[in-house]
Amino acid sequence: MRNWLLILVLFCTVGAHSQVNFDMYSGMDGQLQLSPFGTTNFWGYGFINQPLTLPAPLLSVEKGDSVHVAFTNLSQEGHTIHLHGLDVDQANDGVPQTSFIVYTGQTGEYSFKASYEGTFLYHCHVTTTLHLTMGMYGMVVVEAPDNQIFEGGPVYDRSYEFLISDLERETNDNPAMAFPFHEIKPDYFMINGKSGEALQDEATTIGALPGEKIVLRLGSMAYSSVKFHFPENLNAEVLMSDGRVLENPFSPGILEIYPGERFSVMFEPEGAFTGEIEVEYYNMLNGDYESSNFIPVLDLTTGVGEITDRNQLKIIPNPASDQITVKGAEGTRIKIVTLDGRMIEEVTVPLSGMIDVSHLKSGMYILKTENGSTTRLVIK
Amino acid sequence: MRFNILLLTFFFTVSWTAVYPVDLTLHINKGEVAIDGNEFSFCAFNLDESLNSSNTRIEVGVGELLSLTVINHDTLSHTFTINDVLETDNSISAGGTANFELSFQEAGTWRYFSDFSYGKLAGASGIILVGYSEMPHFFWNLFDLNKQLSTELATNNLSEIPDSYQPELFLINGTFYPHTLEDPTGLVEVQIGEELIISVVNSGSMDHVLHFHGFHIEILSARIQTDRVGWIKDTVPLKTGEAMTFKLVANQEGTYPVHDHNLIAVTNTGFYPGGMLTQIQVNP
Repeated sequence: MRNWLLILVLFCTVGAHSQVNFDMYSGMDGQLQLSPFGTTNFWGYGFINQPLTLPAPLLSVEKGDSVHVAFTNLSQEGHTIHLHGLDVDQANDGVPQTSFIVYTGQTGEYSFKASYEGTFLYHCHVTTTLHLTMGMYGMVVVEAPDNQIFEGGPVYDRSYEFLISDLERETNDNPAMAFPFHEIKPDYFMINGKSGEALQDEATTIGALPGEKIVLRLGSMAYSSVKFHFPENLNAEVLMSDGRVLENPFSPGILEIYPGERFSVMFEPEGAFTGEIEVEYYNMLNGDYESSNFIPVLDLTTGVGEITDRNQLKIIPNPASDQITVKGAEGTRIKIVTLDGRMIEEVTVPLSGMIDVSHLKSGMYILKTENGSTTRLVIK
Repeated sequence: MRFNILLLTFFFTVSWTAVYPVDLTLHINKGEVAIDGNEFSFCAFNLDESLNSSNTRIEVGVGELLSLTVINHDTLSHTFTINDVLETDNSISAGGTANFELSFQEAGTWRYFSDFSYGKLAGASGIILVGYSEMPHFFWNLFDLNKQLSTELATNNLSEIPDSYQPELFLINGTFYPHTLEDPTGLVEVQIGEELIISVVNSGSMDHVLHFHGFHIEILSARIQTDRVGWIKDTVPLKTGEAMTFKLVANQEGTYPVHDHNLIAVTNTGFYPGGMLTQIQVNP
């Protein structure tokens, strides 16, 4: 009897975790809108059959998942994917000198177990000084179950990811003239690839209802150090750093983040809050202030209609090929719509959240709930 | 007598364990260093009268008596300073000698340095590791420099780092990658399963941020960012003057880089890879 129980426990444990696959490619022909400086070049990653993006696509998995990344290099130079902070073994570390490089036309395979929840990064480790300022980076989020920030930790209502970065326009305009690399000095400062007024956008606005718990997953791939200024009545608290739980959470007021660091910050607004979180950029050479960006925070009670309730709907895995699990919409009807607005089908989300998507063609779709919540789904 | 200062700082008799005094003589040297054709001026605390850009690492047990003799071979005065332990009211004149006796009552890393600009800004800054002698331990003394400025700083023709500072060499223990891999005190080489200590000081003029591949470390001690003691991190900022102690558990085999994630600092005069880059090698 005890043996059967053990087998059942093992089965349940194994069954709770998934094999998650990402098919990605690299390109060196991206164009980035620099408000108000026109466009510049960027190098980056994208999901297969999707455009290059800066930052590269968010890779979202669950704690315990086995993750496999197939990376095809479609560009004219060698690249890698370094899984920053995930403590992968040497073979999967993405460092040319100690693991391998993926040359033009080749496909490299990276695998790891998502053992710790939290915020991580990925980036190219070939001529890193140049390839990072050119834009080859993205974020990895490992989710704990049931909207917990970490297993046994607080439960959140909504989560938002913000990846800080910067670039030197002259280098991106003409990367062939970038040498010497130690003189790269950023002069354009971004959050999720946007700067200034461009951040006043739904995709980079934090929506919150009074009393909700919001988690921010923050990471930096910048050359600058940054300081997040949290308004006092957000009641912000830092709970994790670099994918590990802090034994003594603290209220930051100002949270300083250096290149490569990550933090999970939870906040719970006092009443209705609409305002901004300022992000200051500082020169690492001399500590001089460089620039600021502002992340809008919108009270959804008054802001309904101005921002969609996008974070109530969460899809894992994304991209997907056969089946997805939709969180936050159990028992409700959702529509699967193409980017040009054509409805493919309407389904009721079962209590398990699992929906068969194996019949959908490769591409990007929008999932809409009855109350207007939306999220993107990529089918491989 | 001015140069024979006896300082007993935080000294207590430890009666319950054997205490063996550590006697050490440090020589303050200044001159030119050349690595791979890169020539620069440097000032350092060395074990003899010949200049070496790797400042002497001092190891002492908790409660042990550290007896130091410091001989200044420079043509300018220097100090032997440890923040919060030994302040800069001492002065060792050109050609002079000073004696210090110290004892530390807690394990951790401290930075010692000459608190004159032509000393610390020219490289005269080293590591004191207190305790952890029973564990494998390694040292990373971080320093950044501009070759041309190094001469002006070392000769006291420039007393502070200018706002336009553009470092071009980034050193760990007085050298840069790939030579960091030839340094047995900096290259971490251990067996699988071992727990080890890394004692780190930022002696440079800018903040640095170390990123570990393959591992997280626990911050055991810090002098500036004391609120981060106990944090488990893979990316650790070290502000100028910081001294930290890391514990790492070598729980997977292989070779893993550790480097500054301010990526201009993994270059040598602009060439990549270089600078503040070393490795952790975990053997079966």
